[in-house]
Amino acid sequence: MKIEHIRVHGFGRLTDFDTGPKTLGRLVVVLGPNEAGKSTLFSFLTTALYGFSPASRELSPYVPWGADEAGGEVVIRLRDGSCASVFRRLRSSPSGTLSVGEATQELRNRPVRWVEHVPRTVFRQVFAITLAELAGLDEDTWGSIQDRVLGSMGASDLRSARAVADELEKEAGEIWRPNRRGNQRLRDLQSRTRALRSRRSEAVERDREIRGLVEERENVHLQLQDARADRHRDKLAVDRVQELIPVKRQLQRIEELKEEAGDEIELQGLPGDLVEHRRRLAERCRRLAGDVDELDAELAGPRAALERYDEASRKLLEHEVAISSFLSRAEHAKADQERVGVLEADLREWTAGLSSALRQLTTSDAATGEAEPAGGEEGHGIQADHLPDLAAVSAVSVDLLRDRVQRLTRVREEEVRERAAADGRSEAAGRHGFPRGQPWSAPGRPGSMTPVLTLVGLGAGLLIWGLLGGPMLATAGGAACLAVGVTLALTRRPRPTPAAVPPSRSRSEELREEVAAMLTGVPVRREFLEPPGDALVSQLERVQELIRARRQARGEVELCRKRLAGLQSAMQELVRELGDELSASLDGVTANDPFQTAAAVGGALEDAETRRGDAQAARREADRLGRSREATASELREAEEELAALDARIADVTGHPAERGVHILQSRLEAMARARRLEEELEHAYPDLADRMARIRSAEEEGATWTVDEEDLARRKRRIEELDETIEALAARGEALERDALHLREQETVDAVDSAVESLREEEDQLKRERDRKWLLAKLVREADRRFREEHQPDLLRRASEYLERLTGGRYDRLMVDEESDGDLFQLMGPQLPTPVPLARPISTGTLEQAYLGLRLAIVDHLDQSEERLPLFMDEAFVNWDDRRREKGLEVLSEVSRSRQVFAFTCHPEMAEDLARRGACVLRLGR
Amino acid sequence: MRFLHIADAHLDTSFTGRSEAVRAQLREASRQAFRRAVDVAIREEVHAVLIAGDLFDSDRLSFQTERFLLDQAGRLGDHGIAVVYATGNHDPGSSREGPRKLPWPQNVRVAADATPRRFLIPDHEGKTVGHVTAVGHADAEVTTDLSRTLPRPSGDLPEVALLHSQVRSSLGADAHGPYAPSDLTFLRHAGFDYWALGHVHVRQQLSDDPPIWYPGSLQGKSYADSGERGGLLVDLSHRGAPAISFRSLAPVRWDTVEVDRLDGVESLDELERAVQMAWSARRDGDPGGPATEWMIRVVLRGPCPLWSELRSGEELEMLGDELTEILGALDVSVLADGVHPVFPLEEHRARTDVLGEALRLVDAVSRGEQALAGIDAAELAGAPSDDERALAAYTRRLLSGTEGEIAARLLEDEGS
Repeated sequence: MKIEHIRVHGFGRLTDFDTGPKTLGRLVVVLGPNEAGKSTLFSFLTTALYGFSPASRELSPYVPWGADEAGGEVVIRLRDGSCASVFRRLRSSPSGTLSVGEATQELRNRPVRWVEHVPRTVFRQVFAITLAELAGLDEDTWGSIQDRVLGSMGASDLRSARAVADELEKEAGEIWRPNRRGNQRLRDLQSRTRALRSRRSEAVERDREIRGLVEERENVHLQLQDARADRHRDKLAVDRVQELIPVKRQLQRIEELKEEAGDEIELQGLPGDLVEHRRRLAERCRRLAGDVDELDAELAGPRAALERYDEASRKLLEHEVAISSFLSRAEHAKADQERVGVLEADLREWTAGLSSALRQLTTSDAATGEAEPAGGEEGHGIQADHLPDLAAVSAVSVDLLRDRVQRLTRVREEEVRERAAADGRSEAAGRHGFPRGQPWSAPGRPGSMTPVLTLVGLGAGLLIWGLLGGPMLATAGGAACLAVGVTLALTRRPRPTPAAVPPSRSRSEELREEVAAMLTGVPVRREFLEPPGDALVSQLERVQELIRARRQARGEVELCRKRLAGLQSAMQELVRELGDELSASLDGVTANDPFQTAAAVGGALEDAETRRGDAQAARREADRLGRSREATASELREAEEELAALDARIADVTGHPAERGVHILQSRLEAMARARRLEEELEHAYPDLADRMARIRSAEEEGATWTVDEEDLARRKRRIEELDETIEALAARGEALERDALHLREQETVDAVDSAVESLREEEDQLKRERDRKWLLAKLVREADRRFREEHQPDLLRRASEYLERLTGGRYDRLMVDEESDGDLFQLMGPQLPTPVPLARPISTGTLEQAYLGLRLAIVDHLDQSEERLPLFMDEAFVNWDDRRREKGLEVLSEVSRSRQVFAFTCHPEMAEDLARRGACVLRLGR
Repeated sequence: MRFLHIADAHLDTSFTGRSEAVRAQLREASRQAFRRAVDVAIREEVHAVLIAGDLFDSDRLSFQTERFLLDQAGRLGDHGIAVVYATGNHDPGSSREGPRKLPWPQNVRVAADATPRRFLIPDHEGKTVGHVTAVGHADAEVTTDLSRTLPRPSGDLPEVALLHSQVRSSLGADAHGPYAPSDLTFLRHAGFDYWALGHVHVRQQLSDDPPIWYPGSLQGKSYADSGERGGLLVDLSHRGAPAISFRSLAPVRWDTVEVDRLDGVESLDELERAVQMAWSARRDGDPGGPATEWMIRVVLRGPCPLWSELRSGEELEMLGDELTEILGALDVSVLADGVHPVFPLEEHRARTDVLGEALRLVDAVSRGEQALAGIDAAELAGAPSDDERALAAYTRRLLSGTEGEIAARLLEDEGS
């Protein structure tokens, strides 16, 4: 980097300074008297490259008097040949621009990028060499330079080892420093620990105090107990007089009464009015005995009724059904007897009627109705020699006969009309007709009616047998056979066969024959057949009705007679069975008269039923009375037992007979009752009776007397008052002590303080370890740095030695670092020296300055050896040098300017001239 | 003879914890553990409770705890259970608030100095079932072997020795003061049927025949006291076949869980899940009782994208609070010193620059191959002593695992 042009608008004492159109060379001499602005120009160039510092107009020393701003511009040529212009201005705030070619960049107050490898401080310290600084290099600057030059060799990502070590030491120092200066966390902790130790003492004292308080409280408690005991005794004495004696007296009276009453257990369960109770009990016994006797008398009536209902009555009633049946049959038999009379009269009448009707109808003479039939049903009441075949009469179907008769009547009328019409021509026909007066007979076939008649006979026999007392089945079977036989007889009645009628017969003739056939066996009078007409039918119908009525009446008579016979045998059987029982009733009754017997038996049965009813009612009454008697008797027994028990207990308890003992016991009971009443009154009067009694007992146990001493009473009352005050005071004191102890116990205890101390100690130990670790780390970093530098420093020192040799003309040829040294860091070595000598007095100032100049030039070379080479500023550097040294110095300077622009500030024109001769351009500054 | 053997209850001892509430709960836990011991003794109908020292810390015994102790002893007395108590270095007989000053109930026998005392142990009907010979610490720094003062026992009944002692060969003895040191070989041949020891807080059996036991502390006090804590139920009814079983009594347990696979953890939620999984895995097979409260220390190690957040004390406090909630613990504290950014540490270690140099150096120092020069104990806040070896060990311990932090600080990007 080479500064080619400088233009200062205003910067400190420099105003409108311009280096002019000619570019500055590599070696520039700035010539001017003291105070001309040489240092200001250096500061301006530094500002141009790095920015304003300080960056505040108020604080900046470079804002000219009367101006509002400071600023200027430099043009620099870079090593690649390019040109850059830097403009800086400080108004209210700093600003700056960097122009490279056409491009302009805002810098604000940042350094230009080509100087970033050298910090401003290092630039000012190393690149500006003043007379004062030439003779030495302070430790910090040297350290910083080493960091820059050596520590970062080949490692741009590392921070300065020295800075890191400083940082660690600083952090360590904040925790603890051996010299006890500054704020230290460890010291804070230690002071807190000390404070806690003080609190520990307080806690120990507090614990002691608690023990004292507790001890005192226990003493107070004992005193309190004593005082309370005293007061209790006195109060008891007073109570005895004031409160307990009345109670005590009452209790004594109660005791006396209880003593009089004797053993309470003996009186338990006894009524209070024992005498009266016993009297009532005896009276009750007597009354109940009377009741039992009365009930026994009432029971005699029902018992007699029960006896009247004897065995004979019971046997009769056992046969009540049979007797009732007999009585019922006797009653029916009476009706049957009367019915037979009526029926027999009817039979006689119907027989006469039948005889008459038969006589009218038939040719035979009918007998009178007075005659009894000799045998057979049909002949009853009719003379046997005149008896027509009634069965044949009955067998004629009246309806069929009526039909044929009517048809015959119509046919005859038709034939009359035909004969009238054909009278002439029918005379011949008349010869061939049915002869008049021909007897009515029809040829039959006797063999075909035989089974029918047999069936009818069988039926009639069975019917008669049933009606005369045979089984009902015989009656029913007989009726059925009879009905079937009659029906068959009717349906199988012989008919005139056509073969029997001559073909020439007329229709009327045929019908007449048919009627005659129907009347076969019935000798009907001729007048009823010439011709057969309605009279025949009516007469036959009447005869048949009379036959049926007679037959029915005779059956009924037979039945009645049969029942009468049954009654007789039933009576005999009953008399045989109940002869003994009925003997009295049958006395005077005609033997075998069923009707008298029935009346006697009925009366006997009625008597038996009456006795039975009476006996049942008597049993119910006897039961009721028996129960009543049993209850009364039971009650009587209980009463007697109770009385006996009471008397026994009285005798047992008193040792006297009941009559006397009861009065003794009554007296004891009354004493007990009085004692209880007194107790109740006591309880009512003294609700705190239990307490008083306890106090009385307590006082008695203590051997208290129950006499009243007024003087003692007054003394005790006074002492109670005093004790009350004492107790109150002691209790208050005890509470206060308790409260104080409790309060103290809530405070911090020794172990709590010790725990806090322990925690602080642990924290302290941890802090110490942290501090020592940081400190050791700083040590370690420095050691590592030193070792590294030791290994890598030779290059820098070699270059410095080269400069030194040239500057000293070979007198010294080596510059060395003594890391072990406590004092001087650098050492010099030369051909004339046997051992290195410290770079310090007594070496001459000129030699010191030569050595440090060589070191600085080597450092500068190292600092930017691979970067833009920054300008070097020399301020009267050689002014104290002798000519020979100055010559060597200027030579070296001239040589350096070949690789780096050098600004040499001087107020000595001859120096400027010397440099000018060596190619330097001269800038002149005036005051 | 049946008895409950407990030791090192340290009632009223100090506990460390993040908050006073937690510390108060821990202090209460000691009392609760003792109460449970009494409950077990009553329930199991033992004949005696043997207390092998350090029942409380003499200079801290508060009035409340004193009353508590007397109440519990009274409960045992009510059930006819004898208490034999040999003092230890924390509750020596000579101390001002020591056991001799307490108004013990009748059933409590105290051995409070170096004079051995032999106590008859009766059963509940008054018949002697065994003997306990006890010797106590008269003061806080007994350095003599008290076990050798016990007379050799004889007789047909079980003989038990009760002592607060550091058996030299016991596990964890280094963590305790060498008070009343004793020799295991001597104990084995001293003629007792059982040695009831106290002092070392780790439960352990030093000998099988005769049984020589430390029951461990009744309630753990710090993360060093991990594992179940309680007492030993001992049945010597058959002298040749003692039956010894452990009874867990401590309501609070301490444990540390390390979580070192954090390179994929991108958020606080993921970190909490990782911790939760690690904790679950740790509890496999040892879940603790249903009412167990946990004091958990979570140690985070290795590369983690959240490393910068985990360098903040406030963040760690907050994480601890959330994990306390998530894990249902009494308290969770989180240590993240070993967490560093996710970067290729091996590549950095091979670098030719200050970082590589520093990483190689810290490795060498951690392994003890090199030492940092110029370390002065006076410049260290927590130097254990001036002793060079102790200092070197301290340095090694502090620098171990700091590679990540070194890299993080030196690297421009990572350290920002």
